[in-house]
Amino acid sequence: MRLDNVPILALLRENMGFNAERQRVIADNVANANTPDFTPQDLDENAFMSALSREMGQARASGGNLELRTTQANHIEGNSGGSAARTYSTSDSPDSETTVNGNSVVVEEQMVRAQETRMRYESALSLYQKSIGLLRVAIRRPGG
Amino acid sequence: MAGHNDTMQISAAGLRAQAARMRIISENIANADSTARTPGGDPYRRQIPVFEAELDRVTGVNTVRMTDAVPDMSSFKMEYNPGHPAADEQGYVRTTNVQSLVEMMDMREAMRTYEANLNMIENHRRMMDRTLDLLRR
Repeated sequence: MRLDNVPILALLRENMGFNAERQRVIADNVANANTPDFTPQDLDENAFMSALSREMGQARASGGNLELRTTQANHIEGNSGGSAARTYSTSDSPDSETTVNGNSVVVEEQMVRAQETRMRYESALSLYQKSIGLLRVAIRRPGG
Repeated sequence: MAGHNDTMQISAAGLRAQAARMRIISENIANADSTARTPGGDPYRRQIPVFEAELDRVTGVNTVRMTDAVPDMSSFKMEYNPGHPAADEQGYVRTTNVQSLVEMMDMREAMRTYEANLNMIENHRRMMDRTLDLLRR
């Protein structure tokens, strides 16, 4: 059994992957905080969530597994890591102020966003740990 | 999960860019009183750092780099000082167009942005730390 076949673990892993990617985008925004004509980017959370819930729905219909979708004849079928192939779409999301040189990064707002992303990541991580703990309880020898 | 290393790389590029900017600023401040040695010559001209978002072709991630330092073409100040070796016939010496107030503001901004990048690295490090904790128990 792969851990990814447990729906909650697959879901949490996807969530962590999304937040890690978002953290990368925010790091890019902060690094470019003084670059002229730079517009900060952000991941499209709604698109991700709807894609995820669609996949989870399909998974539930197909018996609880998150399957790799095969769209080409030469794609590998089966349950190899799903999020390795996931691509996230970024879009412009300018902050509240734009400086005279056309830069619209507000470091404070990016910092808040980074903290928020970390909190989400860590709460998903804690849930992941707890779920693994539950599995561990299940496989322990009675009375052991 | 891709991109864990990339986050660090991007923030490190941000740190490098701000450090390079700091170097330019300190150069400006250090030369705030530099004049020419010959009569009527041009003194030190203030440098302006230029940042650019660029694609790192090795790792394929977008980072930032200080690509260039361009001279500030604003006019020099004139100071009456006939005894100075760089004084022209009227006794005026051209002094630099460095304004220490502007440099100080730039320096503060560079410091803040540097700290913000450090913060991102720390943030990311803690995330990874907690993830690696999965292995421990």
